[in-house]
Amino acid sequence: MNTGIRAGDFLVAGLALVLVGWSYVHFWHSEPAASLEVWVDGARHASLPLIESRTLAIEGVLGASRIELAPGRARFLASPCESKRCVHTGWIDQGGMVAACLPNRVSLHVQGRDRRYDAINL
Amino acid sequence: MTAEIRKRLYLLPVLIAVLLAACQPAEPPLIERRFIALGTIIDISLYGIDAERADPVLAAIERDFHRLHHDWHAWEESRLTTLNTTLQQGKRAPVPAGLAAVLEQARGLNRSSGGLFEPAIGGLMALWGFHGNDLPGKVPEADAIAAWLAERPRMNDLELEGGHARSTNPRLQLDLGAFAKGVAVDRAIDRLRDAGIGNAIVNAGGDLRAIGARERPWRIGIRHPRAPGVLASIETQGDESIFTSGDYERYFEAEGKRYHHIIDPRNGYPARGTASLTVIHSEAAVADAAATALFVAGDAWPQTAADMGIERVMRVRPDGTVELSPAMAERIRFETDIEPEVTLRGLP
Repeated sequence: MNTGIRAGDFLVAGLALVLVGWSYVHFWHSEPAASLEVWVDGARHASLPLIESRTLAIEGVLGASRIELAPGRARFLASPCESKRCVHTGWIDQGGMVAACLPNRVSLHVQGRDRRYDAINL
Repeated sequence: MTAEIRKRLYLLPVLIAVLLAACQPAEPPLIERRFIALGTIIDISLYGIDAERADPVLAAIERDFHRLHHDWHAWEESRLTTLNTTLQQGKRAPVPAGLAAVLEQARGLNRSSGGLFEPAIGGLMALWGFHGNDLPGKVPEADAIAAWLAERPRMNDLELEGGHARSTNPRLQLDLGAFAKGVAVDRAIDRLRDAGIGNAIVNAGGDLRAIGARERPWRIGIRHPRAPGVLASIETQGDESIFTSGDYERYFEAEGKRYHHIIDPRNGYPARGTASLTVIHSEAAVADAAATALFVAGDAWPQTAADMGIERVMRVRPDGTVELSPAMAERIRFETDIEPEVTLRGLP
């Protein structure tokens, strides 16, 4: 049996290399902000992808907070609190960033797919 | 040749399987708990421990935070407001041992900060309207601030002895706002360590203490005080607390001017000249008090840092320029597209 390297070996090796490159791009290169966790009163309420733009209402202890999702970011549009600190926080767009309406006990937490930061000093 | 290729093609599925297996990372053993206490979101992350062992400790920590919230609340009915009322009546007030230890620690930090960290400032904070869940809308009358300054209460006016406290200044009103989070975070870390947990972050609304590491060092982003996103990052080493005081945390605007909640006890007005100030120190309580004191110190922060034993400091000025202590410069990494203008300031 001939054990030398044949053209077929090169083909397989070539295909493998292409596959490695494709796997790297496909699996490792993630968006900075992939999803949004919504917490209500100390419990995880929803995990939403930050892919398309939409607004939705989250029922908190005081009433509904309106939030806006967009590709890679999210924010409070309105909340039934007095100070509107949640709305003033503006867009949050990196893994670890938080916006919260504490009176309504609703908080938004961006989850970076690569989790670049374990916490953000605010 | 074609037959040869066909013969070797069986290798392809094997390669694909190996590659796909490599792309599927093992689930990191990260446990996270989140709850609301002390007017902020508390996030606890643990690495390398199973949920069964973590759950009872996390439950105990959550109970601690809620208890401190009720004991130390600066304006809702709490042990602290009861103590304040009794002190203002000129009476001797009983102080539980736990609170007495905290007040002693606060007094020590008040001294080392030259009075810039001032827990006796409660009356002034109330005057500014920062004792409420809603933001104030107007600046207090100058006369009212002058009256507070004329009798300026200080931690030295508080006598602590034999489980009792007395105040020699009727204006003294304790407010642990610049300190409570730090103390609570330290207690949480103590509980984790007692349970044999060595890799954790206890994060109280962005101010945190990190011990150990995950499969890499814990990586902390520091918020940009004037733009969305992260200004810089720090990888923690061993056991470190990172605390930031910023003028963007609680503020209101009146006649186009920003009035924030970090009040200078020397003149009664929000401290000017700093947008955010970040410190690293092993103890969270010290880091908490120091972040406030150095913010108030303004341009003179290197002296206050030296007095308080803080080596790592970053100050962001309102114009976006950055000052770093030499020891902080070794640790900080800027994450913005354009690196800010940085000045190194040595400690005396």
